[in-house]
Amino acid sequence: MLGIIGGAALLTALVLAGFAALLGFWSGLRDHEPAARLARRALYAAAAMVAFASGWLVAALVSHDFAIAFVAEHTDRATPVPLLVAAFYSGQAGSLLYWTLVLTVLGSIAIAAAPGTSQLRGFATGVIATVATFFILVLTFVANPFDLLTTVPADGAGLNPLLRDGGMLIHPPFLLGGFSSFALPFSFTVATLLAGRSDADWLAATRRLALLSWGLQGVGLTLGMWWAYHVLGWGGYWGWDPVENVALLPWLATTAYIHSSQVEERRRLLRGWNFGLLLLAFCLSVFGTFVVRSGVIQSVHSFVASDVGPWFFGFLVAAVGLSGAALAWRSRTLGDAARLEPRVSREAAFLLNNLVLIALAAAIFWGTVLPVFSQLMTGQQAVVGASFYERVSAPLFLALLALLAVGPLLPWRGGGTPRRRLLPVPAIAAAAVGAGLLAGGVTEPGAILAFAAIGAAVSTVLIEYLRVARLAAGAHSRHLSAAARLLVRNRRRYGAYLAHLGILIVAAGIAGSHFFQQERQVVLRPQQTVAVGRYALQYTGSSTSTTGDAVRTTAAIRLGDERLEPSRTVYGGAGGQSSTHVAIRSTPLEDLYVVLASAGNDGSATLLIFVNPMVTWIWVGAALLVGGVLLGHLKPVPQTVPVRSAAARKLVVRGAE
Amino acid sequence: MGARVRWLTLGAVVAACVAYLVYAATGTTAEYYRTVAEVRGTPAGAADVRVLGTVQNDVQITDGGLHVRFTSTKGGASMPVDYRGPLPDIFKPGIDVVVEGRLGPDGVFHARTLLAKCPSRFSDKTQT
Repeated sequence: MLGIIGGAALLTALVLAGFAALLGFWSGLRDHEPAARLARRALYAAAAMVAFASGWLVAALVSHDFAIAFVAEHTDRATPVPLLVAAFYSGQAGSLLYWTLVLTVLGSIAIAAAPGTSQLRGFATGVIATVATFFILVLTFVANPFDLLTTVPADGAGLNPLLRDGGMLIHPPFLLGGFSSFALPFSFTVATLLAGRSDADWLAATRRLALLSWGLQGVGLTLGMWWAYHVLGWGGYWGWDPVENVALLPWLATTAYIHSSQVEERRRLLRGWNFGLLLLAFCLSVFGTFVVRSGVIQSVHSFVASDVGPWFFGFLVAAVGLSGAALAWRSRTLGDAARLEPRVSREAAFLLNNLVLIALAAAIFWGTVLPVFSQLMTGQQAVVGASFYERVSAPLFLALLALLAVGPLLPWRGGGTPRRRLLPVPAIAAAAVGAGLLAGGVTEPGAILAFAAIGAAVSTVLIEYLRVARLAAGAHSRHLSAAARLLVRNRRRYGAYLAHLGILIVAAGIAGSHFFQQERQVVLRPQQTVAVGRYALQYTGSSTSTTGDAVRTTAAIRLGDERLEPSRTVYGGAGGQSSTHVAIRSTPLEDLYVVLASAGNDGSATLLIFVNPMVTWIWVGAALLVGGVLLGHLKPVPQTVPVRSAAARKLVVRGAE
Repeated sequence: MGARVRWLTLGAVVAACVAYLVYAATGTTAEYYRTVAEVRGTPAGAADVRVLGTVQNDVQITDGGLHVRFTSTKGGASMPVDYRGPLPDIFKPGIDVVVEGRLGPDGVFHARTLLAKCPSRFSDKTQT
């Protein structure tokens, strides 16, 4: 019966969000502050009701209220409490509720903290509340987490064994949060377009929101890779599955924006393009949500076709259509004051980086929708796998690495500054790395190209940091503080170079594990030994333990003085489904990755053994990547462009004003 | 006007390169989904295809779980499948699998990969 209260909270939230949406747009059109304030408060209240409903659902999960269908389908009495809480976002309806929670809470904070005029804030409130209204509508009428069962079961069905893992506690919340947060920079951008004008503070707030969603999604993607690597037991971390691809797409679009928005800041160019990227990122996140939940594209995740598909398709069409129309409507007034000169310059490098990132996103999009597209065009469903994505993305990744090496050394406006003379440095670094690898006996051309490009880009980052170090090495306190001041004042720039270093470390990890992975599949009897790479592994026998409905078989493997214990668990309650527990021995240079595929009745064990070079670099590099960007933006940075007057600060979009 | 033309040219060149890259890669790597009946109805295949089917009860696992033979059935047609490699955790009779490979002259479908349809996180049905 208690489910009714949760449902009532959702209905209240629906009314409040719908009211905030209408009033927000009205206040924007009329530039009416009291109405805008009321709209904001209605949004805050909607967020509070969604938070209440979420808390109510978590309480129902923890207290085993099996009268609620969602609780009965996703948990049972044996589920430990942390996983009961995680079940909140494990099912369709619950994850949609979580999406809405993040959207309304972050949206409320963003609106409350926004520096803009009442018109801009009114429109932004309207957009966020509209998106929220759509989600709460779906939650109320299509996938209601508070639907009741007519007969209350004694126990629930339990959480899927694959999801009974600590990684479940951290990976989906970030990824779902990232997906929903793309609505925030989107709403601020639509507000700018609707109002037809904006100012520097509002655009800076938009940029910070874009960085927030970029950071959340980046962390979510990394944790997803980490989870796949540590839990799924196939030796890899990225499978180019549609579900992974659609999570990458909005992140790529926002990565492009982070770069090109600097051209806008510096040169007041590419404004329309930047708005377009933020609108695109949101549309891609809606597309991803649609793909994941509609079952329209076959994925190994196989999210079964559910009723929400058509709703999200309609929402996707509306989002693409309306944001495209808004951009086209304002395209004349968005016109940049000047044109980008066709010259070798920093801004040209940024633009090229954008073209490559968008091309990468387009290629991944094409591969993802090919099954649907080919079905429509030819009546036959064609699919592409990892080999397609590898072939297409490899040259584009190389191009991005080359831009990473060259771009930061190019001067703005293509003017001649001393830095341009440093251009031979990355070239020399690339040649040195390439020659070193050849001398070391590496013959794979892809690996040599990749590592040479990475070496070049690392040298470029080092050049920048060496300048600071040289300043500090003056061995004089004045120099040291000057270097520190330089770092702090230009924290965005040095944070960005830290992020560059991070992505380069990630790239090295991906290249290393891609080109140099070793794999063996063996069946071993006790005391038999197998050699993989430089490791000699001895299988000493297996043991079995039982907890509840789970039977766990553990294989003991000796590696020198160390023991590795891969195991697998068969869950009686889940219809004999099993899950694997990989034994991973990580070192900075390589991981030894052992999976127990099966254990025979005669005491033999079937093992999959991988040597994965440099995988740890991916996790370290990703932390540096997100950390570097966030470090540079902890506090709003004073304008890098000298500001002449308050009037000049006003970035008037409408040409005449 | 000159600047604009030059930027558009650059954009067009990049777009054309990427389009060609995508086109060529699609042509060489795309695989078609076939039904079990279609696979049975055509002579030994020259190109790899993907086939969705349900695993029947005749599963024979040998080689410590690294070699499996079973019958895959869908839409009233069935075919024998032979696959070498590690099996997914959830592999068992009754589940749906997608096999990727080609029909050999021996009438057996030799699978290069075997993908099990994961139990869905967002499924509205309870897994049994």
